[in-house]
Amino acid sequence: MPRIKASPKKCVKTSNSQQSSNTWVFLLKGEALEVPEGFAGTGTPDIVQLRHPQSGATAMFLFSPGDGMVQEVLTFSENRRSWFIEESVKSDGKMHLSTPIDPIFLALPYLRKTSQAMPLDQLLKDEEFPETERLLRSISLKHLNQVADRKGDEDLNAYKYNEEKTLSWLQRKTERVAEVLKQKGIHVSGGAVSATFVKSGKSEPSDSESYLRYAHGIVSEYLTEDLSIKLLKYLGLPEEKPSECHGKRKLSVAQYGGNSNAAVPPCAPTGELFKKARQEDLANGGVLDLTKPEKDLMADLNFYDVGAELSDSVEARNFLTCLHPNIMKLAQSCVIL
Amino acid sequence: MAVHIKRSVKLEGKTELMNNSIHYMPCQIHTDGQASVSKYFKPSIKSQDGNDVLYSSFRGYPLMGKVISLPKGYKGIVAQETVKPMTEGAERNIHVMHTFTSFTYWNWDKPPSLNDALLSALDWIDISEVLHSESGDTSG
Repeated sequence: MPRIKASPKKCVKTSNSQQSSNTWVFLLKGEALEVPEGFAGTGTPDIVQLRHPQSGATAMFLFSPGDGMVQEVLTFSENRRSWFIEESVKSDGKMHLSTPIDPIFLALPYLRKTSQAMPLDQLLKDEEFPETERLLRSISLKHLNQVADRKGDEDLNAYKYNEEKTLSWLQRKTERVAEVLKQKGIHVSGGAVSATFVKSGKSEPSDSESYLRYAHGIVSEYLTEDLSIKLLKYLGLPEEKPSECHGKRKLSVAQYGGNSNAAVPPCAPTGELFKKARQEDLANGGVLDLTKPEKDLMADLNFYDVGAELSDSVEARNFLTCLHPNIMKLAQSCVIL
Repeated sequence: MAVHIKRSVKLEGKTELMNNSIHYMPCQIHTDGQASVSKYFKPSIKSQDGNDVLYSSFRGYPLMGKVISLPKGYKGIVAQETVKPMTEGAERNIHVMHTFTSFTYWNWDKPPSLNDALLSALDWIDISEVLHSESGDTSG
């Protein structure tokens, strides 16, 4: 008779681990499973690897049949979790969460790579990630004119990156995220957010700037570092106020054992801007490793440098896992299957 | 390399899993495969009047749980790979064995709340919807 072996310490892994490694639990937006109307192909929803727009590292994405919709696959993983599914037990308690992603974010790094107008099918060619060309069929790419200008003949489908448009597009997104944070009552004001993110009912009123700053952090998860900093300026977000910053810094130092980088003076010269942006992330409740910001910046600059990727992928995952308390346990998935 | 998600033939005519058939347990169980969940675990689940917290126990440990409904439009799937890929980078197929729209989430001895990482992670769904939808306004 099959038994549930559950005593956590004593139990040894049985040879019947086969079933665990080949079963996965996903939460996904249902539309990704549906075959779109008028779609004649025999497509299936497909999970593929693409370059993550922030880090350039490998990440998993889900395309709907016909590639009309893209979702980003994040992994929720907590120690000591298992599943009971009907009359069976699954030892691996991971859950993969798949949520829609605006494909423009995925196209943006390719658009920014060149200062010339280029046909879209050439732009979205990535030898290392051949599946990138699926983005051509993603419906929302029709909205590409929000970040780029179409050049030449319509048939050519050539685009040129437009930074002013992009920043304005990002600003609208950031403002909408800030709005939903406010509606949901997510606690964003600096000092009160701890890494453990305890939701308390008695949150002090947060001003719209805190929400905007927090939203900027979320949007920045899809942007390279330089674009993220440009967006911060574009949003007109002032650098941390000394008083505010002081409180946050104290928190940071306390949390991270007096990490010297966490104590960057609040009014540092522009050269410190990068560190500062990071510090804001930290203030947002992240447990970011501030010991190697320069290296991280290099990795971002070497976006297409293969050599930088290995370390970068680790950094990227830590970043997302830690940056936002509300999605604390979600991490980008490099390999899920 | 792509992983294709296909419907399993076993799914035909099958309704989605009820939340009393899919449990997210707060422990690492070092085995996979058949288990008499409905015989030994389900009968211990009790609810109390006036709140939505469920009570149960597993191997003597008290559990507190809650039925979690997935956000609107979302779906849970349990997918299985029946044939292992022969080479790395080969096309792969996984088959949807079950679907669900709610499941039971269990904690050790404390009621599930937004302090639970998973439940607050579900906030991400609402935020991502806003962030990644096309904005109503148009420009350029």
